[in-house]
Amino acid sequence: MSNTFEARLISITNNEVYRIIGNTERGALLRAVFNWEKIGGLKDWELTVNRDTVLPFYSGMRIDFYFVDEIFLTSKLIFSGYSELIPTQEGDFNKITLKGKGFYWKLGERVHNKAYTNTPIANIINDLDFSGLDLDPDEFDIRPPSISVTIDFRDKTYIQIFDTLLKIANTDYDNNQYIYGVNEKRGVYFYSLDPEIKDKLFEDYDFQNPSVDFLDDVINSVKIFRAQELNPKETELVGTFENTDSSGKYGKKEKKITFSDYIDNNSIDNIANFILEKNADPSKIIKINNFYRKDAEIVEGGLVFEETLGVLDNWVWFDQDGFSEAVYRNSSLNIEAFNRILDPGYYGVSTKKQIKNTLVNECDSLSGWVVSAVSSVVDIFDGNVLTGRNVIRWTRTSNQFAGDYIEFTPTDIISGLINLKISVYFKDNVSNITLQIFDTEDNMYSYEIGDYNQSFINSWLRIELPLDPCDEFGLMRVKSGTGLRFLKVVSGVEERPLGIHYSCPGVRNLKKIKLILDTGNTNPDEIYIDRIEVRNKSWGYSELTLDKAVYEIERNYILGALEFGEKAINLIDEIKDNVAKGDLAFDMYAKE
Amino acid sequence: MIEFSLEDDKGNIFSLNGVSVTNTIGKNSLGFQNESFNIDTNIIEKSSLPGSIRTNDPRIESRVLEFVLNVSDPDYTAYQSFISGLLYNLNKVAYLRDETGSRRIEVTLNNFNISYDGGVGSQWLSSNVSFSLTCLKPYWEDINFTETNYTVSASVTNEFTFTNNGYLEVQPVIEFVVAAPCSFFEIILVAENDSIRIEDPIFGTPGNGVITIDNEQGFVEIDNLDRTVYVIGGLGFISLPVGISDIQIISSVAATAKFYHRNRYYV
Repeated sequence: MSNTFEARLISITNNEVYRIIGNTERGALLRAVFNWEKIGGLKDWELTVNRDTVLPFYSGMRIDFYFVDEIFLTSKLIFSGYSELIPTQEGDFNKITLKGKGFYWKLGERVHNKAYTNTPIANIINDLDFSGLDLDPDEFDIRPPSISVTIDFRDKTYIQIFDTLLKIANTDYDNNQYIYGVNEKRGVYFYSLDPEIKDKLFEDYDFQNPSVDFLDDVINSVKIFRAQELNPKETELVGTFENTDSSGKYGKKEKKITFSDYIDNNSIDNIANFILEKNADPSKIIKINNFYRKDAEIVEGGLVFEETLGVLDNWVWFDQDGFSEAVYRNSSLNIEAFNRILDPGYYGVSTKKQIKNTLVNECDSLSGWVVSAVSSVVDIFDGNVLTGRNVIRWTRTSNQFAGDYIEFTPTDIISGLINLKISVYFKDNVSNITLQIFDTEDNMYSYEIGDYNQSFINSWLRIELPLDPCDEFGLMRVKSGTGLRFLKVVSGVEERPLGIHYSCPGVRNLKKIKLILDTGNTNPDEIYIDRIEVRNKSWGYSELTLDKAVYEIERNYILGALEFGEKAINLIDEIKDNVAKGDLAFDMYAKE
Repeated sequence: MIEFSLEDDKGNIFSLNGVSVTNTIGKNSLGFQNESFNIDTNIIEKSSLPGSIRTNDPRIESRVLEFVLNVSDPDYTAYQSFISGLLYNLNKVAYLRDETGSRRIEVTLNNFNISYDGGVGSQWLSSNVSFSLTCLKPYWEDINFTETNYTVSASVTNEFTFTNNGYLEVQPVIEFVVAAPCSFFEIILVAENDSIRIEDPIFGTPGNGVITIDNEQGFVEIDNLDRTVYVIGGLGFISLPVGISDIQIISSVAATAKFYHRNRYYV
């Protein structure tokens, strides 16, 4: 007894006419593959069946795909799609592959022409005619943001309309990510992803051999054109929108986008915000293959309805010897076995523990820093940069000690510390900065940078602080009190030991880093700080959305190939695209 | 003589040799001849200096155990039953057990060959059988768990030692039991500077006083409810090295921590 997989053929009158069951001889399902994407839902599928299978099949027929629990006879609908061409049965092959698409593509089969003035997105969607597309309005889940739009759709498919509305809805992309598509119940959905992490996946446990990439898809400047409101065959420049933080880090990277419809200024602003927020930094993509989870435990033997509990869903298992397993299996718990089809949302993906360099802060901006400056000024400076495009510049304005500090708390706790590296430049005078590292138990490790040693003047100090609990002889460091350590300080090109410093790490992880400005000898006084990173051994942890999935089902197990994170959005120049297709003719693509 | 048996995933045992095997010849003929260990390690030769560098931590790959068995019985019905029974149990095997040493190894059947003796008329009476098992985990482990219990005081760093008497690191199943809502607990391996930290909002509320961390399978659960999502990001499942390890446990409330592990061996 085990879970199995079924494909159910549904007639045009909504009746099931045939069922292909995975673990049977007759019409056995040999293999199924599903391609799913966050935007759109199921995109395409294919089934491979025995050649002898006689199927009442026609082009465009709806097929519902289920996982079935053979014990409780409960089933879960996982995908729904429709067939494309009927496969030929001629030839010597012993199996047939049926192919089809997800109902998302039905949205591309209808064209809309209408202008809307200051209309909420929800009203625009509800104004569309979904009849005849074999969708189920009772399963629609339309929850866009409360944004009103003035827009003139001309000869646009519903997919193009949804794509545009999605860009507008995603104006606050960092905090509220909207998606749309058609779900397994053939309902159109448009809502924002729940920010709570849905599940955590670990390499070596849930998947093997991931690939982790950063894509060079930064966009921090967008020039947007649109069709003119009164003369839609002409275009006009709406404006240039920029993300200066991003261009400060990566240089200016500009894209042009032209809308072949008239869209109001506020909506253009929203679209620009979406593009700039989404593409402010390079995308991180994690691809995993062989995503596999074991089936839930099913105990062979009889099953007895536990009457005394009086609850229909509780069952007690008895094994073959007649002894109770004392395991109560709520029928819904068996659905755990189905959790290998992941819902859209955020996932915590952990790649295997490795020694690596983890960037704590590039010091290219003050974003995320808490600054308390009374006797000094803290800003960003693009001169005398060691790495990246800027440094943090700390200018003393008074010789009095006022406890000025800056502190930074990384998004995630950094564990498995081996060492910490920080670069500091004392311009014209070496004073002192106290570096403090705090862990999750508020243990603190303190180190003095500079120490008024004038031999460090006007040069970058690359400081490396060992933080692992064992010394170079493999012996444990003293956990509290005093201990000896040699510190490596690199000044210019020469490496030399600074001397003996009495302190011990005592910190298990890095929760917060704080820099405190001491008194100085002269005024003014400039200090530059650049690139704080640690060397550590830990899981590589990322919180990313599930972007794409390919599920391959054979017999009663599923293997998944999943992609987390998002590639750059497809910013097609609509004018060029439409002219190329022959839909529209414009005198000019874009005019400034 | 080492007595071997097969165990399926329901705990049913089938003896391969030893006094409990009824086949008259087969019971003492089981031969375990060769085994090898393949190590996955990436070595790159240096460009000009002598020697090479290793770019990854060595990992033992899955490996194969090969057995031979002579089976014969003057009653061909008994002979057939034995061979069919052997294949039936090999097909559903989960563990190969060394009953003498009280150890087991996780396996699956790789292949099974029968070489019949004699000519026409002597089939179904006598044969040499050879089969191989792929070791999904390439190490033997104790059949019985070793249980280690710790009493944890609230809001302090509790210091203990853990003993792994095997030859490979282990990933224990840990049961953490509390009597009051527990906002967090963390289990720390001091020398490795590694830990797992759980912040589960329902842990310790009525009916939810036991949380299980399965470091081998990679999940966390309370009463069959999956709670893996509450492992703090950046931390994950832990492995305890060979020998005696210093561990620390920090918890927001008093607790009992029970570690279950099986010592592991190469042979």
